[in-house]
Formats: sequence, C-alpha cells, structure tokens
Amino acid sequence: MIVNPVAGMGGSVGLKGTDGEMYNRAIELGARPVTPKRTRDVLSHIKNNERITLFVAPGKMGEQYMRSDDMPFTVIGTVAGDTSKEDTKRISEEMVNSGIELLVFVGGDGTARDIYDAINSKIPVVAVPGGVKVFSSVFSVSARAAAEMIEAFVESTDLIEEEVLDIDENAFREGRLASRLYGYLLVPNVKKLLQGAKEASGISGSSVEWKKEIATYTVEEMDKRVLYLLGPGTTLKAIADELGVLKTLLGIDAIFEGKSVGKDLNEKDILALFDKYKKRKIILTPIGGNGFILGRGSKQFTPEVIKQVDRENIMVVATMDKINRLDCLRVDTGDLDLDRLLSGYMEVTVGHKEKMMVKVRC
Amino acid sequence: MLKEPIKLNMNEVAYPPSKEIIETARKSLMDLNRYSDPEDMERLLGLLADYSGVPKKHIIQSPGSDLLLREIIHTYSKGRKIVIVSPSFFPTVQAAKQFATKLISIRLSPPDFDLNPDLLLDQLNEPCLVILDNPNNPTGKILLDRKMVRSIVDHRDVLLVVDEAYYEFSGVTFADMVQEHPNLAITRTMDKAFSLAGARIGT
Repeated sequence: MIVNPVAGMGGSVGLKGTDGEMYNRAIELGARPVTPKRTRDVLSHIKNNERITLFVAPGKMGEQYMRSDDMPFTVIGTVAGDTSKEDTKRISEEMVNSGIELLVFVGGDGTARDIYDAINSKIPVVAVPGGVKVFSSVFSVSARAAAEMIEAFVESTDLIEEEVLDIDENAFREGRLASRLYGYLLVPNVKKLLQGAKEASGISGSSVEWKKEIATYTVEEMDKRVLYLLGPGTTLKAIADELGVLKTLLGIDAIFEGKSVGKDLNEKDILALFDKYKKRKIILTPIGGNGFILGRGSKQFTPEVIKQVDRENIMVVATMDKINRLDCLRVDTGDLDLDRLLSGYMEVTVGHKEKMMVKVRC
Repeated sequence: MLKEPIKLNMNEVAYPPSKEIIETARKSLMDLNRYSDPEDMERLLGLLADYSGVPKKHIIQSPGSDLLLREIIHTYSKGRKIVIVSPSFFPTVQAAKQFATKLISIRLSPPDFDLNPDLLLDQLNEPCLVILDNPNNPTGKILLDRKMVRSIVDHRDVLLVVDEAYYEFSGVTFADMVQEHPNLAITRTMDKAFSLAGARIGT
C-alpha cells in the first residue's frame, strides 16, 4: 500500500489539484491532508485479512497511518522530508521487485500516472480515490469499495485493464477539461466497484435543448430568499446563462436574488457565505459516465459544507441522455456516515416540470 | 452474415396469426367500404368480457391500447400529477411528457429493476394519475401485487392505470378488481399473445 500524502489537498481550497507549486499554495490556504482518512477507511473495511501480508510505504506515504491492531505489516523503502512523485515511482518499483502481488494506492489521477510509469502492467492495482481529479476509470467508487476489491482479489478474480487519464491541471484550473489516455493498469474485474470513466458532455442539439429546458424551469422555481450554490458542469452553466450570470465552468459559484455573489469558491468562502445567508441550496449535476454528484470534481463541497445544507436542499439536474446512461447516482464525500445519509432516492430535474426519482448509492 | 435484418425493436410476435384469422380477414376485405357492424362489435365485446372476466359495461374497445392510454393521459392529467416509471412503454412516456403539468418518473435501477413501493406511495399526497406497465416494458419485471394495487387505489384522489399488454405471458392481472375500485383501469391488447399487432385491437 502506497499513499500520496498531498493528493486531494487542493480540493477543499478550490485549487483543483496539487501538482507542482500548487501544493504550497494549498497549504497557505489552510488545506488539510485527505488521504490519511481514506487510507484508514480502506484498512478498517477489510474484513478477511488472514490471507493478506501487508507491505507499506514509509512514513506519511503509508506507515504513519497504521495502527497496532491492524494486520501485521512490513515497511518497504525510505523517504526523507517532503515527498514527491519520484518517491511514489521509486517505492512502488521496490515493492514490485520485492514480490508483492497487488499494489493498493491512494491518490488521484496524477498518482495513477506515477504508478503506471513505475509498474505498468507487471502486477494489478487497487486505486483508492483520494485526489482532487479522479476521472480515470481505474479508480474504485469509494474507499469501502476498494476494500471489497482487495477482498475479491484475495478470493481470486479475473483482471481487466482500466484507463489512466492525463488531465491537464492548468487547463482544468482555467475551466476546461482536457484529457488524454495515458495508459492502462490492471485491476480486479469487479465492475460494480469501479467508477467508470467520465463521458464528455452532450453537445447534440437535443442535449443543448434539454439543458435550456432544465435551466428555464430551475430559474422559474428559484426562491429569492435562498442562496444557491451551483456546482461544476455545463448543465449548471446553462442555469447561470438563463440568469444572465457568468459561471466558472468547473468551479462552484453562488447566486442570490438572481445575481452572482461569489465565483470559484473554496470551502472557506462557502462557509463564510453561510454566515450571511441562512437559507441555502446546492444544485448539482452528475458526472456523465459514472454518476458522481459529490466527491468527484467538486471537492469544495466538503462534508462540513454539505452538513450545513439539509439533504432536501440538495437539488440535482441532468439531461435525459446523461441520466439514461447511468445505473445510479453516486456520492463519495470522504465521510461514510454522510454518504449513507445522502443515499436513497433523490429527485432529479430532467425537463420542464419533469422529475425523475433516481437511486443514490455510496 | 444475415441477408436481411431481423426486426426486434417493436417486440412483435415472430409468427403470423392463425389460419382461421387470416381466412376470416381475407373474406372481410370485400366489406372494407362498410363501417363495422354494431352487432359484430357487440359480439366482440361479449367475447372480450368472457375472456377477461370483466362485465361488458366496464370494457371500452380501442384501435390499440396505445391510443387508449394516450386518451386517458390527455383526459385525466388535468389537475393531476402524472407518475410513471422509467423505463416504460415508450408511447406512454411520450404522452405523459406531452400532457403533464407535473411529471414524476420513478427510475427502475439495475441490477434488479424493482419498483420501490414506499417511493411510489410517497408520491400520492396530491391528486395523481399513476400509469404502470405490469409486467414492465422493457424489463419484464412484475412491479405490482394486489396489496400494492389496493394501497394505491385506497388514495381517493389517485387514478391508477395498469397496462397489462403482456398479461398472457405473466399470468398476473388485476382485472377482477376493476368493479370494486372505480379509480382503477386496466389496458390490454391483442398485439402480443394473439399475433395481431397490425389489427389494432385494444381494450
């Protein structure tokens, strides 16, 4: 098991990643580590560990999060001071050379690329979602699902190749989602536990019309006394367009009385707005292809933020073509209790005065 | 490689109607300039009543159940929320979208595609027109049982339409409950089990 200790830290502070210099910026903005909790979530959900011999990366790349009542473990490799992608690559190579059979890593798309560079298809992996950008299909749907995948591997499963994507972090920060296929990693073949890749937004004539219809209806129904937080995505942008407000495509913006009161907000900004506005609603759209409404691509909606907005005040909008290709909606906020609370059925606005009851899973 | 495509998308029976039906239809071609004989229509109604176990006064004939469903939706959606499931019989969905002032689709989710009864009952807190295909088209799932039908029609402001187009394959029907519950309607068709999709006979 190898953990990227800085992955995910840009999320709550709205930095959309921690590549390069952005890590220091995230620290300045008060970002907190995300992956230690994810690592603990995975370990605590592995029930049948008698047949597992665990090897972990040193210090904050794994060892530090182990507890005395965990399964016995051996530390592989060394690390000094701040960690980097070179440490991820070097230690994962050392692990493979020592004869491990499965590599579990905690991080985001960047970490997946480092692992791919180091081990390619030599051994299978279980990818635990912990980064800000987690769009590659190699990732499991949650930390708990990752634990189930590890158990499935121990019980013996087939392996399949899943995609590792290269997301341009600078483009992402500028509001564009530019991705290319970087490579494939082998994973246990348990489809229901894998998140699937993001699909591109619909740009067909009908998809654009559906977005417009959803936007018109949503704006008609807006309450002037309520603060609306609009998540990322083109369907949410259509709502802003309908209001005549400029929207950051991949960020979170706030609307009150039909006007913008905050753009590209981070967790701190949102909580500050909550001090001023007592009635709040969040409007979200699922990510095409995998159905995540929370926990992917909008990490600024932290558990702290979500808990201050009741479940009934979370509105979901989606075009019919997108919703028809999804098995369900998904949440993976990093807080398992909150994920359970958000699970069940939610109303999704799919057209003018038209709603669909869709299951939310965690 | 197939020489010709096999048409499956309309879920039609692959076999032609019986020889007797073909022969009778052929003979009747000479009468196409005439309207249907009311006595023949009355006789058909009697046969349909015997077949379904529902009194004649409760049966309406229609050129296909899809037209009847459309009429029902058009007439009874005024002042009512329409509740359907998704996926469902496409013409029902289309008509619901066209006429609804408020439309709720309950998604049947994989892998089981079951209908969550509580989710449906929670919707019945205002005047509703509920239209459910049982078994569901296209999943083939049985969505309703008698207890659930009773729970729905016990809501006095709710109208329930159960589309039993595939009754002959499922053997599940609530037709015998129609007399007792004025807010329950059942639609049937001769398209599927009788190999008569082109004849457009629905009730």
